[in-house]
Amino acid sequence: MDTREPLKPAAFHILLALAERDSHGYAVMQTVRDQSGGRVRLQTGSFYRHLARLIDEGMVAEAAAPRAAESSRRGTHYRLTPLGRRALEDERRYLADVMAALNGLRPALRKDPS
Amino acid sequence: MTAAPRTDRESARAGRLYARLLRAYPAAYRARFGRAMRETFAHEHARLHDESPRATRVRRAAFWIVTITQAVWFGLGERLRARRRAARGVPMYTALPAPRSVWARWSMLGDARLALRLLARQPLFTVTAVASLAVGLAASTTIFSLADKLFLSPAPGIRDAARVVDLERTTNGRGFGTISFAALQELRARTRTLEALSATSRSPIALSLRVDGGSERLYGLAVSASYFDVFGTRPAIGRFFRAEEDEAPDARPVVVLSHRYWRERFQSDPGVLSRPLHVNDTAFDVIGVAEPGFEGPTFIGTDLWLPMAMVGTTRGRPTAELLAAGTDSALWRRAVGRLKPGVTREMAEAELNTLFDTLKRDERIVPASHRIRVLPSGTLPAPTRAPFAAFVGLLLIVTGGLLLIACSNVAGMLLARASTRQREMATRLAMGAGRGRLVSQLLVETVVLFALAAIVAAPLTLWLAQVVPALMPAAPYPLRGDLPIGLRALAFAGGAALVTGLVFGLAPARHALRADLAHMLHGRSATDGRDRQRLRHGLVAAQVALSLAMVITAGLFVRTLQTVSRMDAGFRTADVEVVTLDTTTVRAVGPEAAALMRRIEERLRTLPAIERVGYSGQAPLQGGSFDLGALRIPGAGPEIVEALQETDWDVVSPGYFGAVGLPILAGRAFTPEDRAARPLVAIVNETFARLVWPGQSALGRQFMLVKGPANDERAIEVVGVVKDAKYRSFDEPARPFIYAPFEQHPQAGAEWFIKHAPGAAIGREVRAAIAVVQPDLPVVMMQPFADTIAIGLLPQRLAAWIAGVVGLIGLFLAGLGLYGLAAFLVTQRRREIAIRMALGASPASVRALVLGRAARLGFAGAIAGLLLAAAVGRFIASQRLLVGIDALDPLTFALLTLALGVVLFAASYLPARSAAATEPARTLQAP
Repeated sequence: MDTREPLKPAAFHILLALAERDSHGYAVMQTVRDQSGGRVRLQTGSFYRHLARLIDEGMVAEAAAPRAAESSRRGTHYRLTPLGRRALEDERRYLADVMAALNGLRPALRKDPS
Repeated sequence: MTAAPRTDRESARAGRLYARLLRAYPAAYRARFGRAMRETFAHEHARLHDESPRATRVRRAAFWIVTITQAVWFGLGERLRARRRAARGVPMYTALPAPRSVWARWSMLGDARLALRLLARQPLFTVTAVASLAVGLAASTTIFSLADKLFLSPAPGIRDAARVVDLERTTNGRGFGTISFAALQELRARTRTLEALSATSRSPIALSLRVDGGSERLYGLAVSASYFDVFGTRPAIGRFFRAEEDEAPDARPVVVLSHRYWRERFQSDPGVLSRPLHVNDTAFDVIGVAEPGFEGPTFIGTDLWLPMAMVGTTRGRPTAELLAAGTDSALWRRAVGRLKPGVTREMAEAELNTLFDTLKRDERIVPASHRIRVLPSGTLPAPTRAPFAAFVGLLLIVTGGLLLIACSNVAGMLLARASTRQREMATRLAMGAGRGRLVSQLLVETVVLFALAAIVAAPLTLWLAQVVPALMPAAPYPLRGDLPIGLRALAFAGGAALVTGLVFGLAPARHALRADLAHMLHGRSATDGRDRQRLRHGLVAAQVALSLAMVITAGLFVRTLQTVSRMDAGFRTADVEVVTLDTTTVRAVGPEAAALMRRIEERLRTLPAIERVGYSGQAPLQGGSFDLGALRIPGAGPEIVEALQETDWDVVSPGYFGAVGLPILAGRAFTPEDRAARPLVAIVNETFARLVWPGQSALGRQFMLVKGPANDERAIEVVGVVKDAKYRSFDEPARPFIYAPFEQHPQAGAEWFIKHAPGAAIGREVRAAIAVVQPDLPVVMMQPFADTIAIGLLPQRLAAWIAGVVGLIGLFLAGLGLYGLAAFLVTQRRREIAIRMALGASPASVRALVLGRAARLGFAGAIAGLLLAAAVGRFIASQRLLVGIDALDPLTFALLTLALGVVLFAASYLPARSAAATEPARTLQAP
């Protein structure tokens, strides 16, 4: 059983965005905004603040930039580390537990009964 | 006219701004993310424009506010986090190894930034070092500026100053005498070595300017028409004197104003050229204003100049009479000249003396014992140059000493740091860093330290430059009191900082490099740097010596002031105001002057706040003297005549003795009956009475006043004996003195002594009362009696103040130096101490060991300091700056040495206690 605290929303969304594919900073920021339906809005300063923490904790690392010239111009790419993947998996499980609890307690909130 | 380039420019600007904002972050963070963040930001910024091409100002403002806030806030947050982590030893995100350009690797700028970072990491060291250096630099720069102004730089407005000379007359090769006007006229007509020659009055003369309903004091200097040619100065407006304006006596009343007076009094109104100026009851035409800054060659300024042919107006007598050959008044102290190109001072002196010799045929013009000396012109009048030079030299030595202490202190600290960083140096050497590279870094570190000190010293110097002129006493003429911190002083400070920085920065570098690599890496042989230790010990001992010498010097001056303040000059100075009047400003001389003084006295007596009023020809303790003529005592032997050589005189009003508090011991004071037509009388002091009539009453005795070319004798009867006082200076021996009634020997200049009720401010009442009697008679000067007397002690006061401040700072620095050294030694010898304690040494004996070492240094320093202080004491005593105490005053020496001992003990006690607290087990187990 993982005893870590749940990830902060911003960190969770950054991991989620990078789980899809390696990407550079601005693209991750855009993805986070879309994924969260605009609820998590990151700007350069706050984005790199979270990113630095994730790198510190070993969940994200710099990635080799792709060869395409257009893409490399966009700067440093980042990738999820195995640790990051595991953290995301832990978070998924945690959220699933939360969902289950929600489903059990509050039938009225059920959208999909299956 | 497309929008695109403008947007590009805007983005570029935004990018640069963001790059700057990123500096809020720690360097390691920037190294890792800086580039990525700038790129991301560029996208974000571009997007702002893409989304809403006409992005509203509100949105843009919001965007920038968020960006800036985040950068600052998160930047600070990261910095705090980095510090917390560094404290716990947790590594930060390591920077990617960035390839650095060759230029960057060798750049001194990089070294300077590294140095700044190192200094910021040791705030105590940095603050102490910078503060002590800054104080030393500021003090020496200020004193240097003073010396520069007084000795090195010519006064402003003088062109080709090297060719301007002072002409002085010597008697049998000595002194700075006056030259008669007639002789100067002859010399001017015949000289071929001087381009221009001008006589000037000896100092600015107090004049009265008539204004609506009253008068104002102003100062004027009488000069020959060629005066301005001598200095090569130019008029700001109008013109200078023409030769014909300086020919017929009292015919052409013209004046030239100084630029300062024109600005202050007339608000630089060019209209002054068309209005008459009523000076001493004469209407003068203002023909010009001198160029800004020019007020003559010395630090004594003037408000205006008038031609010598008009000098009578300043004396209340016809000019022709004043300038006639053979009269006393035709003597002019100063003459200035301009050498022709290629003529040396020696050539001019030889030529002028040849001309002078031909004049000696007329003994009335030039006595045979007189010669002319040609001196370089300077800001200080020639007669005062030597004593001032001694005084300023002393100040320079004292402040230079402080700079030396500060430098050696910093050098000591740098040495200590160098040895703690020896391992770092060794490691870097082992890893292949070049020695030159290390030296350059050490040097840059030192220079950065000294540069910081120079930056702090700059405003401090400017402040001191404001304070020092304010210490100048009131003087009976305008002083060019400003103390410009000129280029030379800046160069001096900069040079001093640089040289000391390099010299003291090199010592640690040299040590670091000579040391043996293997030993240093091993870390054990750090104590072995024998001569490093010797150097550091020497520095501390030198500091102790210098600061002891300085506090003792200060102590000697303080004791002088103390002695003097206890010393009874004989006068009552409390609640007495001294008012200087000169009745020539209203053309009243001789009996008229006496009558005017009498009327003023009557008026002043009606003022309720005034208790007693008296006046005399001169104020005491101004360093000068005055006499009415030679003395002949009927029946006196040669030894008495010899003893009376030093007799001084004064002429006083009946109320004088009461006003200054001199008691009449026998006989009577003067009365209004002692008038011009009555028999001459005098009051003598105790010393005179004792010398001339030992053991007998002096009352009723007579002596002869010998006067004039024909040696006319007039009998004077002694009517009273008054208590002795100090007349010329505080340190003089008892001197015979004669007081004569003012009315019988009237003077145009008088010092009034006005005793008032304690605490009463009488200035306005006195001025008003004088204006009622004589509306255009200005008050030349007005100041408390105590201040008048204090002028004579100004050098001591200044020296005590400066040497005291400097000495105390020096003492503090020396204490700090000893503390640093002792603490350093304890740290270094911790293992040795631990072994000793493990072998049974008691904490007390360890404490004694450390204290003993410090005591040895302190003792050596103190001995040297005492010797130095004795030498300095001898020097200042030889300059007659000490009064009433010995150059080796035992009390001063003993007390201050004791004080030094206390400071040094306190400085070494803390490290000694720390040494005694060593725990052998833990220290020895440590790697």
